[in-house]
Amino acid sequence: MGGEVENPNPTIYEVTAVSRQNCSTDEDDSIVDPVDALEVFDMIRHIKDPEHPFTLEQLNVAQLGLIQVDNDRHMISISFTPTIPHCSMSTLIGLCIRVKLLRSLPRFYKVDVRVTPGSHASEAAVNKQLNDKERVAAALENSALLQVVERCIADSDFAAAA
Amino acid sequence: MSVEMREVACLTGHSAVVWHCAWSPNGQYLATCGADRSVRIWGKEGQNWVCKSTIDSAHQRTVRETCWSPDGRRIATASFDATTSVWDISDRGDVEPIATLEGHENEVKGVSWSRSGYIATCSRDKSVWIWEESEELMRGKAGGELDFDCLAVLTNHTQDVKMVQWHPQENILASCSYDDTIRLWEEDEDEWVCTHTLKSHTSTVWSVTWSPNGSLIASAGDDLSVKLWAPVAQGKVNPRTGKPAARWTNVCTNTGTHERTIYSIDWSGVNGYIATGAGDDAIRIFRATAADRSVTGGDGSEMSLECVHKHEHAHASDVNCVAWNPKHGNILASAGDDDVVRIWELSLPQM
Repeated sequence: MGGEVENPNPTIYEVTAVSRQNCSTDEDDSIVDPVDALEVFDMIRHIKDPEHPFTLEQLNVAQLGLIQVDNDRHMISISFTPTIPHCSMSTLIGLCIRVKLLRSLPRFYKVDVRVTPGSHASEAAVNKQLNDKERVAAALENSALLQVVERCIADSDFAAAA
Repeated sequence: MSVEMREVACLTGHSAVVWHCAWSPNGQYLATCGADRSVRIWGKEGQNWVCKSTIDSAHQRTVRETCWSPDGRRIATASFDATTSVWDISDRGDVEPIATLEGHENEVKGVSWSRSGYIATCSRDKSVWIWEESEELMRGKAGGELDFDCLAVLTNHTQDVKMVQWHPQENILASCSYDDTIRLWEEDEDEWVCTHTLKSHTSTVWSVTWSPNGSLIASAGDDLSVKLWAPVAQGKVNPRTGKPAARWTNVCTNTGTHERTIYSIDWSGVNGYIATGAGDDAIRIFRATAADRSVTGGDGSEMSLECVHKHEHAHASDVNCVAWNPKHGNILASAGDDDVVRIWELSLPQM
């Protein structure tokens, strides 16, 4: 890390409140409550960008509409949009999303993390790396890298009250 | 007659992802390893499978693969800590470290012990190393310590090398890689060289396995396909070997069967069936139909791969490894992301 910031002036997006309507079965434990896209979005929206004091949501890197959940097959597919097409932080951002979900979701979920098609110059290479679980596992045993990831995902469970 | 598959044991003890399982040559013991950095050796007591030995903290980081020596008295362990260790197993089951193979720049991902005694290792550093037990035995060394000499550092792969696998009889090594290729290596006079590059997979090749007599290769990986490869004669005679020149060619591809990355493929030396373990939590059994002689002589078009059994939810998460027992053709072991190892008994129609 270190060195110059690649994109010193990123566009900051207004964060719109997305909230869930309470419903009458919320308190009923007998009802199976599968994970939905909003829940997954809540897990990753407050992750901080490695270079900026902003969240992935504020930078429009993570968007609710780019999350797909298939509960029948326990599959979750997430695309994220780097702020610039040559962003060298893309793999790191993807890794942060992976780690956050690894720690937040039950283990039987299969998660695919990719950059939004057309949003990155090395799209295929970034995607391949992010979805190679052996590389991800090895990266997470690297304490320097893990520290950076931890910093980005720290406190990302809770939104600062808007 | 249909294939039946039932779980006979679930081995618990690892405290994290189990990456690999390997049968001892006599088929009596199973070595397993994983993200908890330990290596465990399991065996049968009466009807029960129990953990016979545990090497806690075998390595500083994840132990990715283990491999038995041909005589079954030693195991080699490959680790993300960049080293490969060799351990001696006494008759009583005590495990002692006897050598550490150092040289890879980073994660060692695979290790394979040839029938003639060579050890091959591969790494994220893109290289394959070939090692041989040093002839200057135990000079100035304590106890049973051993030295291994590196005979070759092979650098043709352009990305991580995921796995290495020796030919069942000869000194031919197969390696597969994140660069989507499989490479074959052989000794030419005093030098190890890449003799064939097998291209057809469109993403990472996670696993390769030789057919029982070494005349074919099966491979699988991230492109969700299983491929068979055969040496197809080129009509010329290789002046060096005097044998007809052959090119390893993709002669059969199975697609549309696996739903997620295939992490492991193993060809049984006993019953001839091929097993796969994949990220869709399933274990599948394939039958490869091929007449070896006609393949070597012809264009291989008479080969086919048929999925004869699919065992869904074999593990609660990804299946990282499948391994046929080398003596009992109806026994298969598997290792998963759910921290457990399972032993399966199958009933298979004779091929």
